Amino acid sequence: MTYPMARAGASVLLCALALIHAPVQAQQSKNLAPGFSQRPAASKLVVVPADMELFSIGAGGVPEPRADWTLAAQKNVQAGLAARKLQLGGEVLGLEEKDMDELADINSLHGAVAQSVFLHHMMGGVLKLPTKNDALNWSMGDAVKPLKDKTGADYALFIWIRDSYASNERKAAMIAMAMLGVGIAGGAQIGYASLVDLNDGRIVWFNDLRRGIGDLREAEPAKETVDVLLKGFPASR
Amino acid sequence: MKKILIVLVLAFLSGCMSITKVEGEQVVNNRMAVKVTDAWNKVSAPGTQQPFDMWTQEGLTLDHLRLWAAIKPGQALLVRPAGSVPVGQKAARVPTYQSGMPLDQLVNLFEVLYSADGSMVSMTKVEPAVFAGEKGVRFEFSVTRKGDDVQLKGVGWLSQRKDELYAATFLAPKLAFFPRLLPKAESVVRTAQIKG
Amino acid sequence: MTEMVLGGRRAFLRSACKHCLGMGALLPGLPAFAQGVAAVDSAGMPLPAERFSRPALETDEGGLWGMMDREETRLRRSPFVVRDAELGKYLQDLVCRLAGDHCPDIRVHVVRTPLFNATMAPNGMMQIWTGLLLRVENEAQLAAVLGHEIGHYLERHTLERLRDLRSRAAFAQFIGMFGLVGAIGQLGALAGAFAFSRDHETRADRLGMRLMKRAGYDGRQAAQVWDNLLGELKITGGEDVGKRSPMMATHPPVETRRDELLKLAGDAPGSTGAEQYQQAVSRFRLGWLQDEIRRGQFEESLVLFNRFLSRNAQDTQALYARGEVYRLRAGQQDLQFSLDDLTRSTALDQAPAEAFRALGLVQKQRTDGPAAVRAFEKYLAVAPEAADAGLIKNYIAELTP
Repeated sequence: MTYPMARAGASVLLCALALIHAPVQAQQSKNLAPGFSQRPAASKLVVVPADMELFSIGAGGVPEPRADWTLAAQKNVQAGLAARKLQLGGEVLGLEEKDMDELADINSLHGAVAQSVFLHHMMGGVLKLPTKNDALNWSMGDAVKPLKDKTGADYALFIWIRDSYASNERKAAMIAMAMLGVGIAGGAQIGYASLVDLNDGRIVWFNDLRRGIGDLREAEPAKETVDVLLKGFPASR
Repeated sequence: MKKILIVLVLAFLSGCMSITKVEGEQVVNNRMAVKVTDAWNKVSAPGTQQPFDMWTQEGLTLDHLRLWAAIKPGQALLVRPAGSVPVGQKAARVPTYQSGMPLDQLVNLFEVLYSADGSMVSMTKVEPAVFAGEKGVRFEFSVTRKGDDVQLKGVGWLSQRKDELYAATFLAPKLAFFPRLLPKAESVVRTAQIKG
Repeated sequence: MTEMVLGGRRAFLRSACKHCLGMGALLPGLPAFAQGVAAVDSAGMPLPAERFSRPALETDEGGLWGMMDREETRLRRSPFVVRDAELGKYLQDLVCRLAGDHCPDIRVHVVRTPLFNATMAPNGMMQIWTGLLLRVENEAQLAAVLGHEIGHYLERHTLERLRDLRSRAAFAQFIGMFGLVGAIGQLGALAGAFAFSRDHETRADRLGMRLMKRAGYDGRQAAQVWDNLLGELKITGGEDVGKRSPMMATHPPVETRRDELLKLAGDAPGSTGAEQYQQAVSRFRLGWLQDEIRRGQFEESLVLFNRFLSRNAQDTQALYARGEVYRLRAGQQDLQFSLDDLTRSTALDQAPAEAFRALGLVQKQRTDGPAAVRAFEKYLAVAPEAADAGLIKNYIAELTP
């Protein structure tokens, strides 16, 4: 059976890569909810287990999941967050994956909210929602109450990353293709970090990641990704 | 990113999609007028022309208000995107309006419509009501979205005049969003009037 | 990044029948590739006796497991999973009888989706869709499908497929790099990937047959599964759907499969387990029938319900279901067919409340007011909390002079 739409979709996907390689906007106001600039001193932050998946792209472009890289990335991001204790603030709580069982609804709802923020606010352009007036103005309302009740935290940080890396064969193919005048994508990072006020459900800070560089597999380069992801993360004073 | 996002990104890139502000007097399909006091965002995708207008407050992965006006007998309530049918296969049925359909059957069309993507749909209330000045029905339903497991709540209104169907549905996440946004949807739907 | 990365973890799941029953309507399709058929090795296949151990993290297998583990975590929290201890135990026991020593590594999840399908991931996560549970008629038929999935698992087909796709894609890229025959060359290289899949499907059928026979089931029921399915497939695929090996088929044509399985089954006797199966699923059947009706694919549903009624003409729930579909389709003679089925259904013990509702709606459509009111009142008496009680009461008021 042939599926014409999938064929058309493939060529449009190539355009998608161009979008992914777009430079990250670094405007402060875009990342902050109106009226919000910092967290109160002594506020508690809970870091929700990051949702990450790392892939290796083989010579032919087939993505393969890499469990070791994903595990390393999870450790590196955690370490990266720990190293920024100053930025994150005094009281930082973690949640275990198994804690998320009872928080599944909040997690999936936040995912849907983050997708709309990513699409309509961070990517913006023709996808902007005019009624938002260019403001980061989204809230989960009282849906976050169970998370607050469980942790006692004032803010929650959600992180989502999908990351792919060119394998050596892929890199060789890229070089060869480049010599023939053809560019092929080597790999990309897309993701977001989202800070939610657990007292009223507002997304108070949001940052997205869309680029063709970055390496979460090793500790040092991973810190760089975390730096970019958390650029402008509101301090607590 | 999840499938919904990919589809939207692709639509955006194909230069298909545009989002405009709608407020004040609006007309759906030249046949149904509504008054919009709190502005909404209208999403247009000229590529696949759907028989409904789609508006949103918070974004396409969150809520939508769909408006159908003057749907004719034999017309589908939803158009499957081009290329979704494999070569050599007959297309699956889509919910289609027929003249003389009783109210319960019209409600069933929306049950089928919202389950088309594999989501679980359940009608929780169906009662007579007036919509767009004609006797019809108001229904409440719940949807568990296949793509990301999010639980949504919905309300729908429909009526007929001279063998043409008029309808509206509002859907939003059950937690926080539905209760907060329903009044905005209702304030639009309340003002619906058939033209011509 | 390609679609598989953006498309999510589910893209990696193996499925029993990707293009069966409306799947085309739900899921994006596979890209087009030219046809190529690999010779199937008919030599006996050894059953791996040793359980699989968790592969090292840095291997490609480890990567797949890791990703499937995360998908399983999500699945465990999903509202789509049917969490019923009794049904779960029944299915897990069946899987254990089939998988033998591998039993502790396989975890069964029942997912509420009204389509015929089951999937098996390399980490032992098995999904059974409720559409499959609705369609199989006995334990042996279910064992055939699950045995097939276990066959994929035991031979690590997902992993092989990933490795194969990777090397074929690299080969195709290689050809592309040197500008040889361009797209056609790439198609040729990748064409094998689908023949490879068809080889997998045939092997899984054979292994599944061995497993079900070993567990004492009648092997001919495996062929019956596909024979039953053919009727539904013909609705969208046409009369010859069973013979076709469409351009990019990942599975052999259904009729070929059925015939092969019949040969493999031979004459050996075995159990079918019809009663045990029907007992195990009886509590859920009405809900699954309604899920099927909600698909709005009337012709496919009729084929299915006709089959149920050919096995048992007094199947109350199937009579209601078929009557309801005739009513909704509302074709020329459908109203009469609907009336016949619903009259019979409501006359039997255990008729569901919905049958009275449907009968009332049909009588209303036939303008037999008194009969409609009688049926509606019976419906409301049995189900006073019905969601559409408001509308039905309104109908009663309209029909009562």
